Amino acid sequence: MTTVLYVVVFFLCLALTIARLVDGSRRKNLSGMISAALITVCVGLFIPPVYEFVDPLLVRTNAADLLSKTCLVVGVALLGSQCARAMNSPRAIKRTVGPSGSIALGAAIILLFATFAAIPSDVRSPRLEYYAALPASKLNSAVIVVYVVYVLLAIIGPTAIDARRNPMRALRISSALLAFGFLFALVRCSMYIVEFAFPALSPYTQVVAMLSVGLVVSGATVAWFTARRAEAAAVGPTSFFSGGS
Amino acid sequence: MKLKPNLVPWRSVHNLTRWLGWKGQKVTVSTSQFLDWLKVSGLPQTDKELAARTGINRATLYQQLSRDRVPVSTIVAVARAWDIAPVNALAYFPAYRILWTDRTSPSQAEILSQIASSDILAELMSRLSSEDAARLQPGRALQPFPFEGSVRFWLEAIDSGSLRKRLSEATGIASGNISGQLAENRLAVDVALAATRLAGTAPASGLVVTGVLTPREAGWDPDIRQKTLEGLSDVELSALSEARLTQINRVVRRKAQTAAHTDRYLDALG
Repeated sequence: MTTVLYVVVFFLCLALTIARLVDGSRRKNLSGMISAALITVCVGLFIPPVYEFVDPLLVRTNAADLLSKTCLVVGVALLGSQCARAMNSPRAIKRTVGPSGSIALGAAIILLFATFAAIPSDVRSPRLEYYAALPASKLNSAVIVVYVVYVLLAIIGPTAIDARRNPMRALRISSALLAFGFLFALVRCSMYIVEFAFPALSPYTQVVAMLSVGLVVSGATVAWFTARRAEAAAVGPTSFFSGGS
Repeated sequence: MKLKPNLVPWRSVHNLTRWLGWKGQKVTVSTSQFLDWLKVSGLPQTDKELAARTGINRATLYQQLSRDRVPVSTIVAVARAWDIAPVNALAYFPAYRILWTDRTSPSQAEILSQIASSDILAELMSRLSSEDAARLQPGRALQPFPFEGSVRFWLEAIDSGSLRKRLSEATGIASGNISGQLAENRLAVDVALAATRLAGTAPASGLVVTGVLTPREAGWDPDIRQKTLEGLSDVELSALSEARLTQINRVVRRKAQTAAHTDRYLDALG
């Protein structure tokens, strides 16, 4: 069942990424495009047949897992910085874009590679499930969880506030979808600890993870669509006096 | 079809909400009161005839009557259709009886509140320079109301202090909701009437600024706004212009902030 969910979310992400790539708009959002592409690659590599196809092409067994996790970390970092800018929250900007944001991202990537290097490479295993009991593998997943929680805690508050206060209805919907997506992602991260005690819960945590990705992608799509419509509607200089008393 | 006062499955719910003291509901009149009024006024009591003459959809009318909640707009429409003064028609109902007893004229501040800022500024410019006066076409018709912000201007005009707070207490509607209505340039009829009662001003004016009655129906002289504007002294006119410019500045700043926020949002996530 989780594979079906991965496929559905993957195509959702792919559709948005392609739409952003082929869109002839002057208002190209490079960070948004890269973030969408990275998250699409990450979700794509969750699908076992894709993983089995890609991994042999790479330099080391299970390097596809490292690639997937690196894409997730960088994608989340870009998404976090874009959200912080969109919500104009100085605290969130400081934590995602400022020096502390860069240090956190650098540390996460270094730890990700270091822990991956400590995991044996004898068996090809999507999401490193075969090595799940090894401390290095647990640490490898923990790095992702801690980094995602770090970024999401910085942006979830401003996004939730914007979902109530944004003057544009479409952007309130966009913020609400993003905020719910971040909330689901935080729930999924908190379930990481529970998974140690109850490994049988793993498929359910994956459902929560994919739901969060789906919500975030939908929120970003609403914002993208609104931007295109706003661009199409904006003809000539704007006067704030128009329609005023 | 002959209308009956008690075909009302909704009545028990309506009475329950009243009994619970839920004051947020819109002031309407009951079906029996409406039918009484039709009878007393010698008007037809069939929904077919009422719908045909007023232009109100027959199903809508039937629904209003079956829910035992006839809105003010329906009473006014019926009165207009049979050439009855809407103020007199409304005054028949207990909730609007004050319209019968209190026929106070609108105050100068109320009338000025219903003149658009552009007309006020045009008057000021005409007085500042004879060239502008010629260019701005003396005697031109004032913009009709409501215009953006006109309901807020009216409420501010009758406010001698803490009116919104008292209005919120009197109607049970949160002041945030009243502000929300004003932001949309509207005010529920019952809130507008409560405001006039609390401020001690003409109740009919509350119905005029909320669009229920036309100025003429409320007894306003057709030229009263023009005369009041022209009758202002230079000092009064410049003070009024200053107040309106301050308000325009506030609105424009807010719009600019909103546009900047939207642009930033769309640049980052769009």
